[in-house]
Amino acid sequence: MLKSDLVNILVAKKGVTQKQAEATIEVIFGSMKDALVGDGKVGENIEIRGLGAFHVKHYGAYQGRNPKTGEPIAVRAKRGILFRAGKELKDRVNKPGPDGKVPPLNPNQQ
Amino acid sequence: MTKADIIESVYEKVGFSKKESAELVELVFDTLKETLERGDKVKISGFGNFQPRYKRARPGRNPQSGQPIEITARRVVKFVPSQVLKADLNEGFLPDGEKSAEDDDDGADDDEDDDD
Repeated sequence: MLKSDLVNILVAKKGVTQKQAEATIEVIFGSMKDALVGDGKVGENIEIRGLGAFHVKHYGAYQGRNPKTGEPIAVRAKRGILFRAGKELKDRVNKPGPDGKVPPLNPNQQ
Repeated sequence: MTKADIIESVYEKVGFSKKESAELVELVFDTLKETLERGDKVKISGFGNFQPRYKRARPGRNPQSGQPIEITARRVVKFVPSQVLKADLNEGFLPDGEKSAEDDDDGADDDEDDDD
């Protein structure tokens, strides 16, 4: 599933134009990105009921090492995103099959 | 940020009514969940990928009693932020000005000695 597939689904199911659907998808994920990035220093966490939560995690700078040469290198402080699936998504993704077990994914789905 | 804020952005920037905006946002997130439920991944360029992952059963422990138990096989969702999102998060990101290597901003205990 790609952004373009989402656009097509909005067009097919809601009768909006291609342009409107594209704008909607861009605004949804654009506003989420903007919230996480924030002013460049402090970002906002996002919580979407049923889907999950995105947290901005701050990592401190540390002294790393080039694993090949052993040379010490300074690694800058940075920020990353942690995602935790919400209850509904967790349960739906992890639904047991008829045998009570959760089936592995098809190799082409991984 | 919650879903209400995202709906508000769609309302303001795309020009749908509040009701239409809410329906469109709901449909997008419902579609994400459905896709992942089927076991397919979702790739949002510029934001990130949501990937279902299969985890084999593995031995675990009840953290309270210490009793060994099997953690059953399961499917989980992994989110991988896009390079663009990562770059935007870290462009010019220097918490409280330039920090040196021994500073740590959130109490993670990774004090290490660096004697050569």
